[in-house]
Amino acid sequence: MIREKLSRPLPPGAGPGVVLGSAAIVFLALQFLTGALLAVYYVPTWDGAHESVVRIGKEIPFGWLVRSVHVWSAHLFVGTVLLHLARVFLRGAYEPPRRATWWAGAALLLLALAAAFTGQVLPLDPEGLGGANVAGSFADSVGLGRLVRGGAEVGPDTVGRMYAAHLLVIPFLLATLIAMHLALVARHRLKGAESAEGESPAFLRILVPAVFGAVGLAVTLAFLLPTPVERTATKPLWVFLPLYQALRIAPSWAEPALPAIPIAFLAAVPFLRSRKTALSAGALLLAAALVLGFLGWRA
Amino acid sequence: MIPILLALTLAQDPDRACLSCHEDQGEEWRPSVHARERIGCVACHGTDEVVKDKHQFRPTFRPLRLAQVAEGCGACHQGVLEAFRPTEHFQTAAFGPGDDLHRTSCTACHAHHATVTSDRAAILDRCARCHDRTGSEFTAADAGFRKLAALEAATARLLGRIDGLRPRAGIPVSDAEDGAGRCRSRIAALAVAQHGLGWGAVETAADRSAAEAEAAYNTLTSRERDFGGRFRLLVPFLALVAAAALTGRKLGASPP
Repeated sequence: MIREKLSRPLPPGAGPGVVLGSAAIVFLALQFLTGALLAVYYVPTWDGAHESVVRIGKEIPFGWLVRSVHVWSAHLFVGTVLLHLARVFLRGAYEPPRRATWWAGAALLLLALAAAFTGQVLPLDPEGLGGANVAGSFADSVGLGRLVRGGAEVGPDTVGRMYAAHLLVIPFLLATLIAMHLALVARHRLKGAESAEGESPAFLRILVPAVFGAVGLAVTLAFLLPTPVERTATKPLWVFLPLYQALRIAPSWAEPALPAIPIAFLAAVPFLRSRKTALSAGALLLAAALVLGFLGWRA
Repeated sequence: MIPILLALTLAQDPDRACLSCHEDQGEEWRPSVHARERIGCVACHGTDEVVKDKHQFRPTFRPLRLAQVAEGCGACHQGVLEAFRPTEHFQTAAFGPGDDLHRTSCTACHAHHATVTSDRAAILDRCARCHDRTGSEFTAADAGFRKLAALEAATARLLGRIDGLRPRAGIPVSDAEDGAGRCRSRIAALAVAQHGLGWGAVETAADRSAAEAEAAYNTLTSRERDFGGRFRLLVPFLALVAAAALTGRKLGASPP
């Protein structure tokens, strides 16, 4: 049966974009691998975290490479999931019977963002602490600040929360959802390839460029731009810039609703019957994200 | 009556009480490092009782000898006093003629009320008032000062290099930080030891630490160069990207 599934044909005119989903999984696998290596030396305490990250980045042989691949594959994972989602959206591959596949993918995006955020905090350098403070302030607006930080301020208990979420909770949920997502893809097949019979080994044809491309790209970027041991950026991660800017300009009463807008859109997409409505709403959201992201980056 | 009023005023704010009469000394003292640290008149000139004695012109009143100045400074700067005590300068200050107050005591180089961390050129000028600039004592001090300056420059250069490399991945600096820490400790120790005027030992120690700073600097430069060579390892991964691009392109021609 597995052989049969692996041998299914690709949809006509699939194009290179068909590798995005697989590439995202390879980036995630890279993060599991490098994350396990980082966990060997990372010390999840308020006093020891930053020092241990400096040790990984400077003293441990090839620690800089492992950490840089981890960070770059995180950026690429989030980016690839976004592109994959955009491609599926444009192809209308969220329509029944693939609603659950879409929702699982959307949930994976949110988990990718959660993983990126918690991972950004863990080094406890200025960038990590700044991110924790911004997220804590937002969590305050929905009454969850103390739960996120473990206190009124970012402190020792924040590290434990981020560590547990980043290393246990989020990876478990990611693995579970990916398994569901893949099972659904296997069940419903790729859109456009449902009835086609052929002998083209689609799985291998996608997997080879996905593995080569993802590993090659993450390692190349890690070599070219190694992650500094002391990150000084005061802005959140690029993917959070639209939300960051929206929170800056929105009245305080509207703050809790802001993240709900893209989440509601992702949840509602499979119910949009008209392609024109879906594309218009998607274009509007994308334009708003780009403008807000640009303004947030310049701010 | 006056001693009682003076005692009451001193009890409240001794420095202000003194400076209400001794205005010139106050002008000198205010910009000094001692003023910033709230070390005032009484710290050097004695307790309230001594000051009261002075103002009553009791027979016990006598001018401070130079040795007392050094001992007074040494109450806080103990290491400096220990280094300075065996020197001829201290002996002259303690037992020599008192015609030129402060000539060879702490205040000769550091002034008295306007206490300063004197720069080396000013100290050498002060030495040259008594010592011939071509004489062995003067040239030894000059050479010692040059070695100290060289050590400070080498340490500052190393610290600057460490600061530049600290945020960067892949280049260890902790051993260089330890080395720079040792150099800074050595500078602090020599800043004290130089008051013993044992210039040979000062030069040797300064040379050794400057060499350590230089070696640490060169090690960092070498590590940075080695890290720059990491791109050699990149070739197989670039080949992977190229292979991915080639295999990915073929997906566009998938059979219908």
